[in-house]
Amino acid sequence: MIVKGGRESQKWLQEYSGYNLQEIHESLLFKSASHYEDSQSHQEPVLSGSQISSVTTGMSAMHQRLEMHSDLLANLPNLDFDCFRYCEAIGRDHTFITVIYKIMNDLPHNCPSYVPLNNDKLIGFLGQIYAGYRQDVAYHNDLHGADVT
Amino acid sequence: MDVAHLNFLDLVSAIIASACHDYAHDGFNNAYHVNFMTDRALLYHDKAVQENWHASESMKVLLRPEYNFTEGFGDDEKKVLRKRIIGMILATDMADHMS
Repeated sequence: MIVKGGRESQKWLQEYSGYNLQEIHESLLFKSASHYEDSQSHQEPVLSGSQISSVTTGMSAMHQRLEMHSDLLANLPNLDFDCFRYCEAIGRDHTFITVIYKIMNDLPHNCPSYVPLNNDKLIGFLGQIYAGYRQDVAYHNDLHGADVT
Repeated sequence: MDVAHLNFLDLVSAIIASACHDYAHDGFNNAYHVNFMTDRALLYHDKAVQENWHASESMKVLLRPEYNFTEGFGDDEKKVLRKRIIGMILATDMADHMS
């Protein structure tokens, strides 16, 4: 049986096996504390700055990207879509947002109580959520979010 | 996939809940937070600490006017949406799965 994300977790193991546990623990603690203070002291984005602006580049860029990778995204609504292969192909920065944006946009318009959503704000929201996922957390990271979705 | 029985609100809440269900995860589990009495554990009285955190933080993001894409919904629908998303995220706490 092939475990999804096996390659991904192997990478983590290799990366972390070089450090000693105490170091990891301290660095995680420190990040955790500062992260908490950040979100407490001011209601700014959890990870603000260049990371978000590089991902949330507006609607036209998003549609351009979706068209560019339309062959990779072709079987997205189905359960056999491989999120991790997609991530390898287009890069991690855009995986979470494009996958979920595509799913939201492909919802059938004729289903009961359909209401048009504000796509610009949806992209901003997904950018924020993506930025809140920490990539250095081994399992509960942005790819896990996209994969579960 | 058969989605005929779900209405739009169900679909949106399910997608948003799954997208946000580990938002701002810090890599520790609930037992760690409880045993070390972290700020998160104190905030939620040791109950489903991380899950409560994911839900409340992502709802805070959603409520900011610049990110609230659900403006098309009515007030009652927004309440249902919020209730469903929070319910689904809290259901990811594995502690109660055996009961």
